[in-house]
Amino acid sequence: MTGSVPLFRTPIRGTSPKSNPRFNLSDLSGVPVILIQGAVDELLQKDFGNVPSRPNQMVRVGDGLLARLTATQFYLFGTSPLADLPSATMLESRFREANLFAHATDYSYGTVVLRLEGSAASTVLSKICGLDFYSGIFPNLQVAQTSAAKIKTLVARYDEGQTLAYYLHVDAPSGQYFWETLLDAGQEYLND
Amino acid sequence: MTVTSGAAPTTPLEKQQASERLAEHPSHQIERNQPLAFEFNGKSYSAFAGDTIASALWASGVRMFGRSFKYHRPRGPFSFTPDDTNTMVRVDDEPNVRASSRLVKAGMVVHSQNSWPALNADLMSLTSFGSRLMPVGFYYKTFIRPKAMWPLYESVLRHVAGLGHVTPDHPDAYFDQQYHFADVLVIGGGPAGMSAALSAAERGARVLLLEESPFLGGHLLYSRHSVESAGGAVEPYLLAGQLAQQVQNQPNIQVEVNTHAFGIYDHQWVGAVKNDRRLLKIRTKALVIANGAYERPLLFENSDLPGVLLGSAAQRLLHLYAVKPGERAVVLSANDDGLQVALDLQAAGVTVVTVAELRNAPNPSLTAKLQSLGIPVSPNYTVTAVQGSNTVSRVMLAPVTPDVQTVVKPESVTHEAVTCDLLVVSVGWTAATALLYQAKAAFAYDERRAELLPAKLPARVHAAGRVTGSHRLETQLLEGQLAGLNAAAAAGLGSPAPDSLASQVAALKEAEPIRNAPAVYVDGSKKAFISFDEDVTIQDLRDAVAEGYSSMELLKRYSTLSMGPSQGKYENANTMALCAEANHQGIAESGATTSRQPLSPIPLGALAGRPMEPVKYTAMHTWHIAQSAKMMNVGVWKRPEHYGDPLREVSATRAGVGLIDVSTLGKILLRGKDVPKVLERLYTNKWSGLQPGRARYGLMCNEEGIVVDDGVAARLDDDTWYMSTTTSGATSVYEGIEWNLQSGWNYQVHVAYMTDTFAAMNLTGPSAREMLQPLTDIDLSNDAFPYMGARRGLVAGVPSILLRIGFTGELGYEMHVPVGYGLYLWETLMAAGRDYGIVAFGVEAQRVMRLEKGHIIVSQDTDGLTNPFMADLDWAVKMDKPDFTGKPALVRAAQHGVSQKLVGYKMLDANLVPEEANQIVRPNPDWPIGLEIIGRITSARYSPTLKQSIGLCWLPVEQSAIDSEFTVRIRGELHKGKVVSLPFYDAEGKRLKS
Repeated sequence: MTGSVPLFRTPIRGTSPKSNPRFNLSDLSGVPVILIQGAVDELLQKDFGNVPSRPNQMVRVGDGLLARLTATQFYLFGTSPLADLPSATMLESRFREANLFAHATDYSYGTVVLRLEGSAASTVLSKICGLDFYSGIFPNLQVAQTSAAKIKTLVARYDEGQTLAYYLHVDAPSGQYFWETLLDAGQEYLND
Repeated sequence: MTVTSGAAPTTPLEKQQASERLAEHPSHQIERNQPLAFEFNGKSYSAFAGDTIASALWASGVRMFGRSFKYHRPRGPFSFTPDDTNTMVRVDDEPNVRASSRLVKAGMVVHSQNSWPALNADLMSLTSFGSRLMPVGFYYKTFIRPKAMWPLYESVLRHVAGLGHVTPDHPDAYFDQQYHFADVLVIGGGPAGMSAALSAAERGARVLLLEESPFLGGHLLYSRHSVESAGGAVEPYLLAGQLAQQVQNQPNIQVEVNTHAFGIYDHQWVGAVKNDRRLLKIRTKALVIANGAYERPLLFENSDLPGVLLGSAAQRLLHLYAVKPGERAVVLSANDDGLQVALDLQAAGVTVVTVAELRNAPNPSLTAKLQSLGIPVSPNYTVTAVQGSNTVSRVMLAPVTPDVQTVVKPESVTHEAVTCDLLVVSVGWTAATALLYQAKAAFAYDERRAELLPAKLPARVHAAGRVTGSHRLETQLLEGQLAGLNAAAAAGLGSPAPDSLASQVAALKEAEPIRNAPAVYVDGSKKAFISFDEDVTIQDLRDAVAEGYSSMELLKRYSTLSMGPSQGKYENANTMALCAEANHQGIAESGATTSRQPLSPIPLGALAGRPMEPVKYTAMHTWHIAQSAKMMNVGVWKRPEHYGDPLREVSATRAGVGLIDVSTLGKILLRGKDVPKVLERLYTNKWSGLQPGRARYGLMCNEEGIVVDDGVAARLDDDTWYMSTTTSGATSVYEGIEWNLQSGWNYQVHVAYMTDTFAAMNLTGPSAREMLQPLTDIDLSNDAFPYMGARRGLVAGVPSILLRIGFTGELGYEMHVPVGYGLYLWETLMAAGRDYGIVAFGVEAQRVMRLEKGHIIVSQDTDGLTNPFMADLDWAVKMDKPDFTGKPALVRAAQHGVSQKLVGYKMLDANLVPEEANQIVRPNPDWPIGLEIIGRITSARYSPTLKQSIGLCWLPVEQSAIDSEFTVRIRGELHKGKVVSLPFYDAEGKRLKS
């Protein structure tokens, strides 16, 4: 029993709506999500080849996205369940090797990650979040720590080709409520 | 004057023919290939898709839609706009629906309001005979004496007050909300608004255009006189279509129809409602207000009778809904619009009996045209009264003194009677300035135009069209362009409009023909209503002013003028003029009332918007539900209170093993070499000496030395600490740590909030170790993992933090695991525990067990005045520490001693359990009922372990000695309790530390 393989379960109870060019919602919970704390620009630049220069910006790194939350906080997450990204443990070893005061915390299994995409994605989001999602204000590779549906949410825009897409991160216990709220907000686009 | 002959339809066949629609025309908004049926007051009626309830009923010959508020006078549509408040009806069980804007749906069941027992036989209309008993302001003077009669008055008034009834069991309606942002927000989709939107968009502005009706176009949709454009004369509705097409083709413009803006707030924040269901919260950089004007009524006897319509109302019926407003009409005109309406009516087959013109010299070409069609036009003539029982059947006409001012003075005593079924009134316009008022514009009264118009607009606020007094299309379009360019510039896009355009607009405005007669009322009118909403007459207004309520603001409140559902849109201008007349002032001096949000009534559901009530579920939630747990709310969390029998859960856990979901506990990960320093400052007790692998109870106070939180903190390795807090304190403790670190403590510590990242469960009971050992690689023996130890390892393959702690007083292991594995681990433990008789236990059983151990719950057993000494937590306060939060206050508290103490108690009646918060009392004749409150019960439960009622309570220190008795007041009766030592159970902690 000590060697058994544990079963991960997403907090989301429900299936994604039928694929629709205007509104698609999918549950990506379980993708790698790591919070990096510390002045680690140089190390990350070396490891990933690219680091966002300003808070609320993201860069693509391998199978994921690296967002800069503050001067000394980064947020690394995968965009698909099989994303190959360094683990928190690996990053911490790198920090220790470099003698940096930095830490990586694994939030992978405590975060619900939803991908909201489609031409109506920003309209749906604007029903639950008071940010301005106009492309001129919230372009591709922009990220914001905000409140949506009255809960703390990280909103990251990463378009899939021409398709407008947002990755929405909320705490796992709030995930089901958030999922239901988004489905309700998008229901007028489900029959298109 | 001369009149043409003809009679109003009276027979059913004539009425049926009258209900047939006019010939098809592209301007019509109805879909003739989609007939609908609906009911009104129990009778079936037909309609077409696109009809409003009002247009469909009018087409079928219905004129009376309801009864007025106070006197129950017959009332019907007047303007055919959403502000036609005398057309409020009940649709299915939704009250106060505006028939002039609600579209008909198949099967709709509509009822009139405010009449009993029936609309045509309303007994309450008898109140009109008692009007002398209900003068203006009678609300404030009657029903107050004798005071004892008030309950009776109130019960009667509650039945007669208000409009419409709310059905309590109406199913919830769906409401929504949306945030919008714009560079330029244009309110009003008429020609001025569309022109503004297009010119702003061409400058690159992000434009949001709101239009109240289903279509863009504004008055162009129902005006029939041609307008000049570059290509020659164009029908207005076609021009509206062209402009609307340009708007739709402009990618920068987002259009929201069926949307009315109800309020403008600070910093260009605007509230609007779409389809009465979706609340729009709009932030814009610049505003253009182009929401038009209201046509103004003339006041004369019975001008409120159904069948009296404003000119624009008749045009809406004709050109939007293909409905003949009547068969035989009289037109009262004071501007060219009135003459145009007469032409429209004639073209639609209405017999225009005569046109009474207030002006001395009406437009000669329009007059000639009317006369060529056989329609007499009589200058210096007015309507003096309307007659009819429930609808117009006759109009009285009289010549008037030329140069009409506020008062229209008939020259003769005898008036001519004209038989008709329709009176159309077109005497002027009132700019719809309420939104501009809210936007803090300044206004001036234009004596020449007899209209209150905006004089100075704040920065970022612009206006165009009828709302600024511009009625000619050319002026509206250019003024819209000017406003759009300036608004775009205010939003940082491009330069302001060129001076040449501004000059051109100014010149056009100056050349605008006068459209507003200064006339307000016909002299000698009895029962001339200023307010159709509140049944306030001209005499009521004069009486109010005579009583001293002479300022507009006081007059409004005393008389209720402009306080009805239409908020004075059709009465404000006349009220101002009459108030000025009564005060012997100019209108400018008299002033206007304050326009407040909302501009139009909005459903409360729309204000509430989308219901968003966050809820948090633990990873094991589905398991709890499947076991039929009784769930409870703990803040936003759902937790199982019990699984059917909490006392059995207690006994089973103490006898064998139990498992509880404690995922809601706060969890904070702290890393860095300075963590002990942080903990030393946060907590009252010491931390620096805690070794890796050990945990400690921590007590937290605020700066006043008051207990605010407690928990367990464990040192996982040299630089990694793991803190737990109470569920309710999780966020505030975390934020407090970050705040302190960032605002002066400057320690090298990283903090990570893990409350929602880890699920947690506590396996507890004498069999816990034996049950758990096969599942983990951690040595659980007492030597290897003693009480208050902390370990990291795998449990059933899941990476876990284990804390050996004991809130329940039994051997226990609290496991913290990533949320995604929580349910798996829980199910694994429950399966593994079957042979040990494992039970899941909930919050209630935990509360019993912790009470048996004498553990306090912060904020239940403590309050905003509790310091650690009062709660017997002296042992947790290390006053020899250099500093910690609350130390200075605790130094003083220690010097002063305590006056109250938290103690354990048993009830002398072992089976009697007080209610938490019951008062502890002692006799004192100086207190009410002779009992002085000296303490209170904070926790109370029946202990199945001890077979005894136990609890915690506050007592004066002098009564807190062990074995002291006290008296509790439980549901009015007095019972005895006794102070006992804590804990109640396993005083030496042998079970805990086994």
